[in-house]
Amino acid sequence: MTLTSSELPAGVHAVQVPREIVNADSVYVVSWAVVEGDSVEEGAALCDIETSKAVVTVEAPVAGYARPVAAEGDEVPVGGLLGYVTDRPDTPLPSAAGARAISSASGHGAAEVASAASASGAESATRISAKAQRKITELGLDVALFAGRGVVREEDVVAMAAELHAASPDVCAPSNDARGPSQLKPMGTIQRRVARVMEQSVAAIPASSLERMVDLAPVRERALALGAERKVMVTEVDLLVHAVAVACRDFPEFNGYATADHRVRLFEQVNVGVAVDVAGDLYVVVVRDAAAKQPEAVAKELRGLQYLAARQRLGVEHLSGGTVTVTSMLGRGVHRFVPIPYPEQAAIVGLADVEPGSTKAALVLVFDHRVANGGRAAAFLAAVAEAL
Amino acid sequence: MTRPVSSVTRNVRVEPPVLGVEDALAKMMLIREVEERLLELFSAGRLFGTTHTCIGQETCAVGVVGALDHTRDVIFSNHRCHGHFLAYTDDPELLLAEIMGRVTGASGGRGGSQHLCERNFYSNGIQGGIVPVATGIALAEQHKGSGAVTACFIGDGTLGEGVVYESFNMASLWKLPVLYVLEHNRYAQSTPTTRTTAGDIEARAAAFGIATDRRAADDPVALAEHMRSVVERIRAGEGPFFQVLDTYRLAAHSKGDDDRDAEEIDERRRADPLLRLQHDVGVKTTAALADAARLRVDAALARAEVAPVAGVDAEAERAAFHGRARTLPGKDAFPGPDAATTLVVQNLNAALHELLARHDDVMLLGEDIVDPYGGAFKVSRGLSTRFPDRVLSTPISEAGIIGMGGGMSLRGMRPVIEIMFGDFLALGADQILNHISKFHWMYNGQADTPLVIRAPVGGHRGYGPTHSQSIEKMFFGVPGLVVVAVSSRHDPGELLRRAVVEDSRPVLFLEQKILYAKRLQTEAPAGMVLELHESEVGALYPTGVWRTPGSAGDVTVVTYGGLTAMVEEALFTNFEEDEIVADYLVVAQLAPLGLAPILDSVRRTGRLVVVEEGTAPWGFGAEVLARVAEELGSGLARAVRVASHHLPIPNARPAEQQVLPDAARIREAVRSACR
Ligand SMILES: Cc1ncc(C[n+]2csc(CCOP(=O)(O)OP(=O)(O)O)c2C)c(N)n1
Repeated sequence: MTLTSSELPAGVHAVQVPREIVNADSVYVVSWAVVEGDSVEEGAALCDIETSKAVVTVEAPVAGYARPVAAEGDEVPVGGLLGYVTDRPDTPLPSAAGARAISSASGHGAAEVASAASASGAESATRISAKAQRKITELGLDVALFAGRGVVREEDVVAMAAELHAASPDVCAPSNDARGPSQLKPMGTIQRRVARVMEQSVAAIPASSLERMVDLAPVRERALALGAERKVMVTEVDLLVHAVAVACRDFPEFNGYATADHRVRLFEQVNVGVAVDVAGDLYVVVVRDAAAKQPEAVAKELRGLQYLAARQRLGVEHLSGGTVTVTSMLGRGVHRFVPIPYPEQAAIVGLADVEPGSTKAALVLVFDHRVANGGRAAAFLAAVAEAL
Repeated sequence: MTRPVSSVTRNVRVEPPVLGVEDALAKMMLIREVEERLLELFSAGRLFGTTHTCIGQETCAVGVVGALDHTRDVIFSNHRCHGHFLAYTDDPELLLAEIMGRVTGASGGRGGSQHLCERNFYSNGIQGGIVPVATGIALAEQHKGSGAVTACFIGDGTLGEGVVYESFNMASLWKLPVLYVLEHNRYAQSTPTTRTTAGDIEARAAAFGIATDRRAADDPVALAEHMRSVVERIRAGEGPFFQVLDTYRLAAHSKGDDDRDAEEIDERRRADPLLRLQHDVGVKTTAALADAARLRVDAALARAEVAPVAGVDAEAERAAFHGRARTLPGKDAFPGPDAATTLVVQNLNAALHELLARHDDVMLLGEDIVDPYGGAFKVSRGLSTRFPDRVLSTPISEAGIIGMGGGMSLRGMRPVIEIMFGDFLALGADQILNHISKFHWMYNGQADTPLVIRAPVGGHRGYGPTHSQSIEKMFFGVPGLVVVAVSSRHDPGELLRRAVVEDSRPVLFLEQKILYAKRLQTEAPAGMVLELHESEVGALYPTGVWRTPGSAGDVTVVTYGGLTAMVEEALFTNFEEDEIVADYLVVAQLAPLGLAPILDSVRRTGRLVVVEEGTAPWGFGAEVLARVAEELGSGLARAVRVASHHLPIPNARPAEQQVLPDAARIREAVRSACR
């Protein structure tokens, strides 16, 4: 599934999941805008793919005929093959184009019902539910005990354990869940991807956090004044984005990340990611080169991004390339929170009200302790507050 | 006991003999005698049902039918068909026995007065609806190069039906050998034509570029002479012709329902063309002809009276219908999907290519199906380039093209009609309901309509309320119609091949739009194996049953079409987290539905969940549940339907998703069935 163009015959262009989608190792194919053999212009929409943050439209790299390979609903790794654009509608495709071997179903007496895997051997006659599997793990039993037993449910595992316990009391101690009944609810696609990003971050980044009080009254005044003057809506978060970007110039280690081999990658440009909540889904939109922009330009850009987010029209370009992140809990009745930095970033800066009615706010910095120590982090936070 | 079916075509080609006056009068008097006798029998309470006589209009029948070549030309007539039938068959017994409900009748007593079939003669009692069918017959005969002309009779009131104009349009576009005869008797049932028909009548056909003529039908010999020249020019390939015949109906529309002015009728009686002809030949000849007609009708009635009355053995009929639907293993089967045909759209497209290549009598009609467009969903791509004569882009005329397909199939072709969106089937509903699905049975097995109507159906595409429906429920209950749905668990191309080539019945072939870009599933769902129920071995469109080895199954889950992926996702979680083992059935032939595999499974599980994308009321699930409950009684412990909410389908994506079923609802339904 990772054919590159150079391996392809003439007249065949691979369409792959764009590599610039960061913080995602795979995407889901949402829908194709074309079907096999449709003629497409260069840049025409081919399909929508879903990343952890948005639905992104993949475009035709050249003009030609669309030849979808990945099916809707398929998960395809970044760089993986979505399909091809060919110069003729019937250009033969590389055989590794993802077609599964089709076994003839005539053995089943019905050529028309797509074939089924044959059921032979004890292994194929064993089907263990995920619930039972967890119980097996919990009780430390050997899966092999269940070979050939047909369908294995949790109760079968418990019964097996009881049997073994009776025979040899130290093997394991079956128990019913003392917490009472429960149910497992699958996460939505976007949340599943967020979950992976978070796991990755927590596993990789030894984070520490600092907090300092700021008075938002002057910040709000400045935002209002700026807004009125430039005829855009400016918020305190917009100013924070700008402030973080400016502070990063003097504290470059917060605009980079620690690598596994203990080096620090420092980015020249400050691209500030801003967490946006759309109907419970988390998106991080990116304001590129924010330090080089005026605060009102930042505000204008963010308004545009929020507009796109609300309409689920964010593209890769809006979501990729962040080097540091800003998040806000203002107005949510929260006075403390500890955000989690994104993988391959060193810092995330957050803002929360201290108490309702007060203009005091908590400015939070969570940072990778590998790139800086407490004193330096405190100075960075002071610089942010100052710029704000 | 049924009447032996006569062969449809004969090899001898005879130009019709020139009609003599006596001959014409004999025919007209036979028709008059039959019609008058029928009215007597009705008023004596000896006949059941209804009839429409052509008393006063006999000249039209004798003049037009007398100009046709009876060895090959085709007639499609309407409710007022007795005269046409008698002029064609010269056999009063076939007609009288039919109206008397005898098995020796033209349609075995099934059709009655307005539903006659004999050799190349057909009639049906739906105003206008017969016109595209007749036009399709003409297309078939043109394609076969038979030189046959098709005559289609309509009344002036029928000019109110839109499908007439769809037919005119296509007949003219494709220069079809069809003769439209309008018997203008100045009334439609009780309403004078002046009240129903604006503008000019001839101009209607002329607007489509059809040659027209209008004349009085008062002299059969002169009319036959004129019609011979008209038929000749049609036969010579000059395209359709519209003949208006001014005439008058002397009797009631049907039986005793006449509110017309008595004086007007009297005046017309005095001008009756039959009287004039009798005057011309003289009293002696007239008396002799009257005697002959009376004797023939007496004899016909006597024979019909002693013939067995038509009856129906519903069980045997059902078995016969299903019996027409078996296949031999591997018979001409397509090889199955390969790398190039793994997407459903490719698979169907490849099947159509192959069908057109293998069979000369396969012809495709549909809107926008010609290359480079290749159909709205591209299933027909590339076909017109390879088979330009047999792949036709049509006007936007769903009723017209479905009806034409019906007519083509009546004449031994295997038309495949592509309907752009299944929703538009509604426009062709009359053709499906009152023509195509009826002909075989109502003509007592003398005709087949091996037609396939392909229709993309279903939502998930954001096409909104009128382009996303699962409209199939409107057609499930139509006797004589087979409804088939492809799924990613079937080989769609092979299903299509069977529908087109191996099934002599009309098939509504559903293709869920979301399937087109989906890959065919060749691996069984996790942990399951395919078990084909014995009732499905050799079935044209078998139901697949997937079961988990080592378990009897807790619940039977039945679905069809585009929902398989969703159902399989739900069943996966149902197993992994709810520890419910399901028998999983994917039906391909939705109607008529073979219940055996479902019953067999529910007998073991006692629980049934039916998942469909259409709305629940009066739907597929309702039928399955009712029939299983009838069979199993308390053996069915729990039954649940999952379907769309009973609403139109909204356009906005989240709203559409809320209305359509999803995996979470399916999972929950399975859980609730098992509680
Ligand atoms: C689609 C349809 N609508 C209505 C009827 C009921 N109907 C039967 S005959 C008739 C009148 C037809 O008038 P016309 O076409 O002028 O023929 P005529 O009866 O005068 O021969 C009507 C309304 C029908 N059979 N089919």
